[in-house]
Amino acid sequence: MEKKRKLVGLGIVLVCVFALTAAVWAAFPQPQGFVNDFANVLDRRSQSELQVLAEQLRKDQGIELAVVTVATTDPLDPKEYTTALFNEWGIGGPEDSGLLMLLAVAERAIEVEPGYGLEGVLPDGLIGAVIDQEGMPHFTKGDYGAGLTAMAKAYAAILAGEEFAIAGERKVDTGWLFSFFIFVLIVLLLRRNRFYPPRGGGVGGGGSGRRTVFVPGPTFGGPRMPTGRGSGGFGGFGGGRSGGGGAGRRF
Amino acid sequence: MKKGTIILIIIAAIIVLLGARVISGYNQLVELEQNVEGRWAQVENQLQRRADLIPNLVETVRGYASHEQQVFSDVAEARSRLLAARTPEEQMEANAGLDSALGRLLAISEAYPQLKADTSFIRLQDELAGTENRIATERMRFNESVQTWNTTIRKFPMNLLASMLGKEPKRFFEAAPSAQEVPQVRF
Repeated sequence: MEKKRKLVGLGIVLVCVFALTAAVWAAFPQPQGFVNDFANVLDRRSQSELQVLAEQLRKDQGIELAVVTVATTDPLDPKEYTTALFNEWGIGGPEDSGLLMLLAVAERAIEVEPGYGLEGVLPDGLIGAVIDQEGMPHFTKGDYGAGLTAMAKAYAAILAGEEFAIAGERKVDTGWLFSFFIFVLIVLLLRRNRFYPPRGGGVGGGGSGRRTVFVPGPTFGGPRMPTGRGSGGFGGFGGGRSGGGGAGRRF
Repeated sequence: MKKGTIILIIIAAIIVLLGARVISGYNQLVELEQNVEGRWAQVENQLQRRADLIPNLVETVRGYASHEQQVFSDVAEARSRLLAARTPEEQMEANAGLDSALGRLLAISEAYPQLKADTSFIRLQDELAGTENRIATERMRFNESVQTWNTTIRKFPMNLLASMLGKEPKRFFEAAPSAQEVPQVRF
């Protein structure tokens, strides 16, 4: 009898937990396309410009760019929401080459998060510098569309291999520095191989190295197949994942 | 057929079934434990990544606030403790220490407007904040895998097998209260 009661109690707790998880889950809207103006703050022109940029990125480099505006990220903070949404939607293909730009109106927050595969080309410092130089001047004036478009253009240029000039940072003549760096690297590598046994786990380098088993947790959707839900025949994202990197600002 | 033979066949069948159950249970345990270890390696990667950022950050702050020696040596000490830590438990402790030392280092920057406006300081702060968010994400995924492990080895009949193999519940990686406050670059 006692046991039965305990079982029933456990059952009730489980149902509650499940319902809560489902509620958090349901808080994420379905993707409508590359550009998702859920907060209705983007003008037509910015929307189509962003759309064209995103389509080009996917066509030329297989990179998926998602632009999202939401009224609020409550109850999560903007960063948590961004990471969760990224993995829920699965932005980026099998190479995890996705980029999510999320603007939360109530929190006055902009968050940019790269997938695992883009962490090497887009370090957090660079992501932040682009927000500062391209996005913030527009955001503080309330022109969200122009800010997001300028940022997307800058990221697309960086991803295409162009260099982004960071204001206030002195340019160094990189020619000899580069050869010197390569030289040092070779020396270090040679020494390391000779004297040290290879180490497991160790230093975390670029994004592609950390591909271990992925277990879909209770709050994350994990990699999924394109579902074709949503309007306009958007095929869904490619199942990319992110680890919570990137940068954000409040404006 | 003799009665004895039938009984023998039944016993053999039970043994085979039990054996199959034990083997699949064992494999499941191995898989789950591997998963916890893999997740922890991800956490370690990010802790290491943060430790790698610190010397640069300290140098940049030192350029503007050279007399804050105490904080610099605290950070250096906490960092080397983290790098020296071997077991997950030691690493969790050392990481909490580094959290608080870093918090004090970043608090200093508030008093130096020029430092706060320095481009390379802003970039470093972005890298640091990004890495802390990564640590938070990997910590969550690690804790989920620990949760699965702990529930599995406590449930019947897996608990029998687990205790026979000497498998124990694993510890969660809890966020230190100070680590909750991820440094934000504000304008």
